[in-house]
Amino acid sequence: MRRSSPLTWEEARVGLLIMAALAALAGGVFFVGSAGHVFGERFRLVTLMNSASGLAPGASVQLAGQNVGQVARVELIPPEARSNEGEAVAVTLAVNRNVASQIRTDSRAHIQTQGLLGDRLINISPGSPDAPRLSAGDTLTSVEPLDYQQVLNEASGAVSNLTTITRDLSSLTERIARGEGTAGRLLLDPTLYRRMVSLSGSLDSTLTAVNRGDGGTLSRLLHDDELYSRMVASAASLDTITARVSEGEGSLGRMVASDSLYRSVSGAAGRADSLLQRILAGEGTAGRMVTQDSMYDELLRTLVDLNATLEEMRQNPRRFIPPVSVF
Amino acid sequence: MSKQPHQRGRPREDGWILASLKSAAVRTDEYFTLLWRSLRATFSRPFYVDDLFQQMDTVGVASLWIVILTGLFTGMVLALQSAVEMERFGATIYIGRLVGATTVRELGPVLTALMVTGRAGSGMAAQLGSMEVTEQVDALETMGVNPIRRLVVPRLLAGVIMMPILTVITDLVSIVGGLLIAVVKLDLSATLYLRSVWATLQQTGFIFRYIPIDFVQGLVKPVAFGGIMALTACYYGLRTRGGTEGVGRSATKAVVTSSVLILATDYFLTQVLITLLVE
Repeated sequence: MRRSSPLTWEEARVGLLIMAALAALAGGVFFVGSAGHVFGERFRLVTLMNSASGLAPGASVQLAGQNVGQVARVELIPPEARSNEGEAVAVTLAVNRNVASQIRTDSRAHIQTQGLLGDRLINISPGSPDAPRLSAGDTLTSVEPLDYQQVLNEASGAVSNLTTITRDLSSLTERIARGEGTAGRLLLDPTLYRRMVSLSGSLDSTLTAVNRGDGGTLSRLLHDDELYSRMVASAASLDTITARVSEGEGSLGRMVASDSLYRSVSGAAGRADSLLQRILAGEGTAGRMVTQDSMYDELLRTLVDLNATLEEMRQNPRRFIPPVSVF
Repeated sequence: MSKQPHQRGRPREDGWILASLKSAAVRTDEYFTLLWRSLRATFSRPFYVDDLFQQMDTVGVASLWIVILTGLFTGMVLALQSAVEMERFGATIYIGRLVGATTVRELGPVLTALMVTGRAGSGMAAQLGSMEVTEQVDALETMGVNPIRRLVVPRLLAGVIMMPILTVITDLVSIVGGLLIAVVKLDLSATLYLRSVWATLQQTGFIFRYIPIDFVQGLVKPVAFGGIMALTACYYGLRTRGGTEGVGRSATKAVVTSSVLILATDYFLTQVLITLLVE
């Protein structure tokens, strides 16, 4: 445009304002972009997950808790295309190239929740030095996140158990506090204490009396040696008796030392034996009684006849009573 | 609309509902005719560059201070108010997010548009109104100058160009205002605050890889708002009747109408932009 006049102040002011605004805008784009690492070189990794758990494109990707990129895409995998059963979602991660050396084949990706609002993000664990690196387009193994629902379900059982326990405990402590049962009485009833006090008191006085040695069996046992000396004396006389017995003095001594009693007893036993043998052989009266049945049979017949006679007598007593006439 | 059997008022005219409907339709027609003519004039010669720059100065530079003050205090009060609520949850670190997101997406464009409407739109309507009642517009036409080309197009373009520029300034100042409160009153670090502002803007995503979607949203809106402000001011200015009193009325109407239009357009535009860009 051809100008006939020098620059006007209005034009300069407008230009300045526009420049200032454009500079602010450019600064904004730069800072926002650098917050999202737009300007760094990136490479893409894919991770397959069972559930994206609300993960959206733009969510941050962290390596050991440090922001290193963003989620670029979240796609559902059709059932036919799944290589494994539990891999329904493919998450594409755009990761800064300068951390590529940290991500190895044994790195694991998992979904985490961060902050008050529960933002979802992907955290990658750094790999170990001897595992090979992952390069662009490779698949990063994922770890299923903890299923909070399941944890809660399991925890609810434990919580209800705990509730029961505390309820029992509270009723127990209530009863104890009321002074019921052994524990309650132990805590609240002073009787046991009082008795123990009086018991210890009387024990104390007993022991004192015993110690003082003023009469009584226990006291004498402790303080008087009469029992001991008598026991020593009886032991001495026992000793004398055994000495005399072993020398064969008196009846006891002879019983121990001489065998005449043994011999006469054994002779008696031998004779009894031959007597019994003769009886068993059926010799003499006693032997016949033992070995032959004839006497038994005779006796049995007599008893049967006697029985029949008695029966007859009971039924017809008149037959056996001779007619008595006075006149 | 069926005619009522018992008409009140003057019988020779239509019922008041019908009459106001009719006049609304006529005004809408006039409004969009003005828009159409201005657009046609914009893309054909001759083009009055000096007038454009003069209007850009009037709309933009003259409104600079009020948008700076608006932005500053809006940012400050946003940080302060949200701090009261967020402190209860220990979430004051999210203030950067709140200030950044609301300012860039919504409050920056809308507040700037409303302030510029009050500052420049009223002036435009009053200036064109007094030109109209003193028959200067007719004089221009007599001299063979198209008043739309000469008067409306530079103002429309100035509105469309300067509104986004001012919005960027408002956004920046507003974020700085929030920063001020965050650092001075809430004892947050400036880096943390700014980082959370950038983080929230980045979270909506990027278009063409580098341009944050929030910026696109925040800059498409003021273009529309600038156009609405300038067109409404020119429309009421050019149809001013009734002397100096009419000039005042036109200025008031221009401000009220464009404010309402801006707020209504804002809703629908936001809906469209979210659908197009975010989803």
